[in-house]
Amino acid sequence: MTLKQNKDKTPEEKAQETSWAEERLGFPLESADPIEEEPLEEDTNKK
Amino acid sequence: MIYFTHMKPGREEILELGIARETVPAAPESLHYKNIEQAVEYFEEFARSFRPQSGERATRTNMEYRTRAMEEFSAKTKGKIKEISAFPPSSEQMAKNACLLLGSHALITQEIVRENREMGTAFDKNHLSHLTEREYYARLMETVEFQQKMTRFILQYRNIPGLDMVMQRYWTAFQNVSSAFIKDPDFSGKQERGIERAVTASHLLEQQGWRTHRPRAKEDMEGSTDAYATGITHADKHIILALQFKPSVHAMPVVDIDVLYPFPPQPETDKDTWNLIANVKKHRIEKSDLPLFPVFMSVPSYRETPLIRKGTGLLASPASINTLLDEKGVHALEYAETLADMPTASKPKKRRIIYDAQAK
Repeated sequence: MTLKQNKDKTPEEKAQETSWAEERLGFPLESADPIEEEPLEEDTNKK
Repeated sequence: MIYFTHMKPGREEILELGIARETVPAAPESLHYKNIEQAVEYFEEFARSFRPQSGERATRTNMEYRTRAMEEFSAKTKGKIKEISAFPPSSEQMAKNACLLLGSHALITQEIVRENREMGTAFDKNHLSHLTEREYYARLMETVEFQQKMTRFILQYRNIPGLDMVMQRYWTAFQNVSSAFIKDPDFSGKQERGIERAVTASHLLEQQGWRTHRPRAKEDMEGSTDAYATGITHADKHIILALQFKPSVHAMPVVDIDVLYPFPPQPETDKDTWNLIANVKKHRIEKSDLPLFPVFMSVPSYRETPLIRKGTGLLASPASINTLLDEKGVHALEYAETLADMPTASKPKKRRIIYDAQAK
């Protein structure tokens, strides 16, 4: 595989990648990068 | 003591330590999940409570009744969206999710409008069947916008446990409410599978190093382009793919990928694929060095394989790709990556200057 992997890209790199495509295509784009899960609530069974 | 979530409830013996540990039920407790679940509950309640006031006997064969009931539903849904938009900031995310889910009324509206046009049905002047071409196109774009937003929503929340189950509830509620208006008993299923298809294709590409995007404005949504994918090579070269997704035409649980470059001649393509290629060509004429290439993907659904999750279309696991992508698919994506090195700018034509050396 010759492409850079998404897990290795920083948020800034991803934003630049999107901006580059927007500038070339001529319209704004919305990416679908995964939202990280919020921390789970405290376990009530914890002693 | 070690405590785990996401495991089945019960007690486990840890023999080495001679102790038993309690496990908690596998209920996802993330804030994102709660916001999504509450939004789906909101939609379920709204869908359950809707009763058309059109006065006609409820029947799916009566076009006029169905049209008026749909208009009522659409108006009520828009009212609900307005109401939710005024929710307090603490409920902002839930409200945004609920507004998105309620946007599915555009699918029902579009289907009824399409049926009316097909039948050439003429009602009163303010009726949907009298839409101008521009108004019809605007409604179609609303439908596309909903599909794009829903696809993006699922992809963004792909890591939230329990997303499949809550989305299945959503589609069930959509099925229940849309069946009051739409003749086709598989209408809801088709809408669900269309969105899930886009999710499957996008999820697969993203696991292979591509990032998928949708146009932000509906004015930029071109009917034949379902999404764009960007990739960057290790040599820092960019590629953009214009993607079109269709249902798989065979029962194999395989995603077929066709990189349409060099551009095939028109007789070899169907109308939709030709429109995809034409859109790419239009962009490349405007910007001659644009590394934009059309790619067609035919995608199976959860009905053909458990490797695709019902309710979302997400891949069941990272290993799913090993089955969903056969050798041909792997080669197609490898070829797509090499397009970064494809020359795109056309050489300027040399002007031939003819002169007479003897001329004064």
